[in-house]
Amino acid sequence: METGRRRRRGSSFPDAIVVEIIARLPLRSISRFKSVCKQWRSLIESSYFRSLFVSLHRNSSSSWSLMFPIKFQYPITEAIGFHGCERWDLPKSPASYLTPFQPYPNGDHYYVDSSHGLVWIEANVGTDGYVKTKSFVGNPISQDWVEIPPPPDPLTKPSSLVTRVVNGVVSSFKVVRTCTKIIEPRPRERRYAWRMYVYSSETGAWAFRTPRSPFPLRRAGSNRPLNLNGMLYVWEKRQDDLTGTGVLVSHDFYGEDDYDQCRIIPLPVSDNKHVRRCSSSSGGDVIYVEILYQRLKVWKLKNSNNSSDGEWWQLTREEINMASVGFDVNCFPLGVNPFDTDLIYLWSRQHSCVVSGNLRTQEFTLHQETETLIGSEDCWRLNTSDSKKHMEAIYDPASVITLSQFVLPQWMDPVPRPPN
Amino acid sequence: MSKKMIVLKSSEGVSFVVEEAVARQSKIISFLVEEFPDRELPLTNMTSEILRKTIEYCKKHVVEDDGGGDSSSSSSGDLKEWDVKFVAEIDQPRLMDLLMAANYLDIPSLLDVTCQKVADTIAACNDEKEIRATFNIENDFTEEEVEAIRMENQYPI
Repeated sequence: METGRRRRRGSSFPDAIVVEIIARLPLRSISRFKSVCKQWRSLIESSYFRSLFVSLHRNSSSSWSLMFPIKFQYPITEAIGFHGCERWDLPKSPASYLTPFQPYPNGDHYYVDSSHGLVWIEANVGTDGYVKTKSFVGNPISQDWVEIPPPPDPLTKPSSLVTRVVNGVVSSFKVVRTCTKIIEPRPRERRYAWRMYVYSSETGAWAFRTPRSPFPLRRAGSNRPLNLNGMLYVWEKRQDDLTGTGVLVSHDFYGEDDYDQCRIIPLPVSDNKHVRRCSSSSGGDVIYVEILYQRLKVWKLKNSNNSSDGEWWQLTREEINMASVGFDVNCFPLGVNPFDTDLIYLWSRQHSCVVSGNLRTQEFTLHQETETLIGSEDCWRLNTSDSKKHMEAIYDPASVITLSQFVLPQWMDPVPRPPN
Repeated sequence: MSKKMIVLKSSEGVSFVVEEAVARQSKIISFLVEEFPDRELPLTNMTSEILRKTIEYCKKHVVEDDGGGDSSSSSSGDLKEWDVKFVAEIDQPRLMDLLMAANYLDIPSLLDVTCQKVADTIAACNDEKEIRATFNIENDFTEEEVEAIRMENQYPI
């Protein structure tokens, strides 16, 4: 008698119970359960389920990889990888899902940039005689890719990817290519503008864009940018101050007000050819790390748009004298943990290896070999052997190094697609 | 000082006398005893078996809670271990009933451990057929619909 009652109940759990149960499963496996029955499918696709999942896992950090930018004929390289967060429960680091590149598993492919879990991949497609480059934006975990049509001008180079996020969901993305072609107006004029082509997932089309700078810029946006919250930040030297420390040029790709303008952000350090520095982001802030005469400083860009007081940056903590903490090794900063500004990653040229540093405990650790560190709930990969190729090829040691953060999002939203 | 007791009555009419502090882990009972003190509370949709299990869980957790100021991490670790064992010993249909009871009585920690146990069972299933069989769920999709969902969600892992 009792068994009969249970059977009936077992075949139809109330919605509230089903969402409570499924929200406790890792994100990577949830979409598998859509095919169980119609009730499960509609619940998994509901916004209620999404917000329950996000709130249950709000204390879980996300998995991420710190990536070296695209370099011709270099394989995709992850400097640091972190995985094992319960939210996604990945068995390997996010970057490992980039290879093989499923749409074209046999061709060469390059990592350009990532924003809010979306990744931009350039793939060489075709046979020896006729190779063509295609661009894809997508989610490597779900293998959901959108092909981007070729830009109207072939003389451009891949720059960066920006996203607009509404209530935690990526609602659109923009693909940015910087122009390399030398054309009229005259070169001097050209230096006052960042010339680029921008593809928007909202329109499905490319548009030419030339945000203006108040100062002439040496490379006009050709360096590797950092993307954050729909903005790009690119390190530049002013053409009228070539011995200077350089500036960050920023542009808001979703802003209404300064559509045609770049913002120029001075950097906090005085010029010195011995400075080693990087730009990165952490906890939603732009971070600038510099090491000069063995003093390490981590700066955060102030959020206020009003720069009239002249204070653009604030130190996240007191400077660290690396010699006094027993680590007087000559290092390049590589980047910061996306969730914790006190965890930083460096490259030691004399040891040719990745160094991880905890600024709270002032402990620095050399990783002489590529290491995989497995904790109780997480897993780190510190890739010394592959980082070496990139770090030994640095042309100007005083330049601002910018690696790309591929951070998995809080949710597995589909990749935004243009209207048909 | 004697502890205040209350009476909970199962669907079969069996009365269970429990300390109020134990029963108050249910937010619903906590509310009811304030509104209707000195009354026995009929829980008409809970069998004696499930009610007994629920009370066992609440007793364990209340004892640990007022076990003095010594609520060190090892004791909370022990409690966690106890929870795991507690749900591991229950068969699938009764676990679902217990989960429903936790939901109905609003006992968040019991809901959490039972949901997690069911989630683990689902995760251990090889495919949706096994999930349906384990939980007695009817497949209301056509072949084509299943195929379409599979195409949409080709996760590589």
